[in-house]
Amino acid sequence: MNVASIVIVLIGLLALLDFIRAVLGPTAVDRLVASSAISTKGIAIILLLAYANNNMSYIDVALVLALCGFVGLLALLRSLLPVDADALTEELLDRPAALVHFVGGEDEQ
Amino acid sequence: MSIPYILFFLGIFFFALTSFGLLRMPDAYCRLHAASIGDTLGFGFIVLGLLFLVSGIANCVKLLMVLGIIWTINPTTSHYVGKVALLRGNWVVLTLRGSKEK
Repeated sequence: MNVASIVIVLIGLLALLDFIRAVLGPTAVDRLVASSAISTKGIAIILLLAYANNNMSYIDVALVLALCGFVGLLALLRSLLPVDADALTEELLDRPAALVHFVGGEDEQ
Repeated sequence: MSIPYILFFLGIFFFALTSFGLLRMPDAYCRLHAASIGDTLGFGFIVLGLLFLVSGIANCVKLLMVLGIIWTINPTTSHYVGKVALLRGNWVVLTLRGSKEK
């Protein structure tokens, strides 16, 4: 049992804590943030596995996982963006004080 | 020989800050803050510790490529997640605190 295995187990336990937030999270954005944190921890685990197994081709796996996770997260975010996003952005840039009065758009999943 | 283990400990420390921040913070924006910053720094420490242990210059360059990709991707996606959260109207706690003074 070398040090890399202990580090892998500890990071896996922390990823389980992130998974609790991904299950409990009240909104979709909370779940996205938690899944992004789990993805980063998974890439770190794969890099540590490359050292623990002494098989350096795992580093390429981590590279591909990082790029695919990025594209998947962008696709999920584009599907979450509201339809009138551009008009809403213009309005918020014009009047930043409108943020305080806009309560209607809460999304309870 | 103990330098990479100290770096691993620092990485696990910042990963733990990320996880407890995700669990304990009250707001989606606070959770986003904790997750993006802690994950990026903890991943940097883990890869820096691995650079001491891995043999071969090609493997070290590949590790630095993964580090560069993560350090580019994590802040970018965090910015976009914050923008999507703002446009979806997901800031009720912020609104309640801001409207307390008036």
